[in-house]
Amino acid sequence: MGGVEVVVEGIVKSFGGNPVIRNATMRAPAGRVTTLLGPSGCGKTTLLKIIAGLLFPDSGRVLFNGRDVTRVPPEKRNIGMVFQDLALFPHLNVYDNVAFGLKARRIPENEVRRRVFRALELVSLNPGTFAFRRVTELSGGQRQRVALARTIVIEPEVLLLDEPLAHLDFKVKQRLLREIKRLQRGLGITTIYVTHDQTEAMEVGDHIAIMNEGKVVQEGEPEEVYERPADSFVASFFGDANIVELGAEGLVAVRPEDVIVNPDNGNADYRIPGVVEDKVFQGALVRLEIRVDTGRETVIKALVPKGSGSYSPGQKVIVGWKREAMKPLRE
Amino acid sequence: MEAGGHETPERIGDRRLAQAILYAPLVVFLSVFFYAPLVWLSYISFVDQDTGSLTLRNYLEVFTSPGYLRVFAISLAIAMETVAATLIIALPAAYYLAFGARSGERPFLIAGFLVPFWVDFLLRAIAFKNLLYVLGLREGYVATLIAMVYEYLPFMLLPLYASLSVIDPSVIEAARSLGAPRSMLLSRVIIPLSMPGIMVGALLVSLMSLTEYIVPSLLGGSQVFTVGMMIYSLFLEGGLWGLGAALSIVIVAASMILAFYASRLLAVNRNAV
Repeated sequence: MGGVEVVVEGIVKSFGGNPVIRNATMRAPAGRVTTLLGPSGCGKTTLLKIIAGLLFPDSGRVLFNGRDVTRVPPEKRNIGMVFQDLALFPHLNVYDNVAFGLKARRIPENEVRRRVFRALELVSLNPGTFAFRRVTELSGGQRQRVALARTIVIEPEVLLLDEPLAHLDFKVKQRLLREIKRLQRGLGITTIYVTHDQTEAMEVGDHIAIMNEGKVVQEGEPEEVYERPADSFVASFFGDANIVELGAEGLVAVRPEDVIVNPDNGNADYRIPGVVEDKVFQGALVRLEIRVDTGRETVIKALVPKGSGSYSPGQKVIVGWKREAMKPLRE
Repeated sequence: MEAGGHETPERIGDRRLAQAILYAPLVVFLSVFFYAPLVWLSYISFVDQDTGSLTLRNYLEVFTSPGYLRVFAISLAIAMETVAATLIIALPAAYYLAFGARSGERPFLIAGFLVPFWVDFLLRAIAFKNLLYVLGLREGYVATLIAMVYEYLPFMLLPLYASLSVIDPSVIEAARSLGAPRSMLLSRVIIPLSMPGIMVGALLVSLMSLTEYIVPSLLGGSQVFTVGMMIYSLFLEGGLWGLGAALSIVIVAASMILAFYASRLLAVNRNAV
């Protein structure tokens, strides 16, 4: 299949004079999963709906494999979208929900049946048990699977997922996340996965685009974005970060796991004295919050292995890090 | 059932009494002004007015005389056509109100639609009669139908709007994203999901228009003679109480059957949603 590459260029969209997307440019590589990560209200759902064709932008372009589809309505785009609240058809049973897109394409009844059953199997719903159930009788995870089956059954060129796992509990979420990945790899559909959850974004995405206040502020491979965050927003939203202003270096980010507490001589290029303010046990790691004075009062977060010495609030320590742990930020 | 779960018989008795007191005024009112007259009405429908003995003659005449059947047929036709016309006019408007209108303009659109109905019913019917003359329309079947549609439009529009406005807009987006053209969106998603509203609207409009008296007597001219007019004339002009009562009972029974089936269909539909 190969899939299509989706490119979004300079999208601007306002609702009633209220700018929601100020300038969004991003790329979703063919056949891969791109996560669109951002805090709620940053415009990511709106951008997804523009890619779907459910909304048209005020300016900018949407390209599928170089073809301009900016003003093509969704029914002519061959996309599949899973909505945040799933949006299953409440008056139809599981079979008719999944068959909907095939019937819209006027596919013959016997092929509809074959493909609906296969799609249900792909999302691990036994057709014999579930096909003729009402969607209102299903659990959250099962409804989620129906929504996914309804979308992939039409073999879309682009799969758009809008926080599809937002309302599920942790375990179901983990399992479905793995299944979505497996399914996507098997089908090779270009997928854009919207989420506000950074762990979900890291887990599922081959490529990541981070949005803030209506702009795509950085995109790239997750590791690359983590290692070289463009600004303080990215540094602290994608992973955790200490943002420190150091005279000569300017504004830098230091990851908590790169902070060394009471470093040996020569082990750290920067050292600042501080006082432990809080200590949070996190299982394998212990999170320390250390108040330091870098000209202005700052709290440095440090993650240390649980056995690496005992620290308690009030204790005086030195925090330090290596030169290469500092990530310069713009602004 | 109750929180706590240990209710004494006295407590239950107290609650029953409180409930009875709350409900009593309605029961007394309806008993005096509706149920008792209804019982009396059904009694006289079985009485031969000349001999005073019990009889089925009134019903026999209502069901067999071509005159009555024609009146039934006209009333039913007007009612069904009123339902169809109000539905056709109200559905697009209700759709626009629910999905097209901005939330700021919605109250104004609804108010603009309802203001005419704050004017007294009889007054509007009389005004309508004059308006028809101005427009060059004659009294008769068409004029009656237009006026009925005008009278009953809100009873169709409001339930339709209510049922459309609870449809999740993303369900419509989902249908579009799955490739549904407009016609399929309407026939497979919007109409099925607004069925409860359509049923309530159709039920209200058909029940009210079936026995409508004022509009056809003001605007029907000599061609239109409806059940409502027939009942009026049997009771108050002909003095044929037995026949009038039988006809009334038939209409009440028909309305109840209609309402019963509609509510059953509605219940089935609600289960589906």
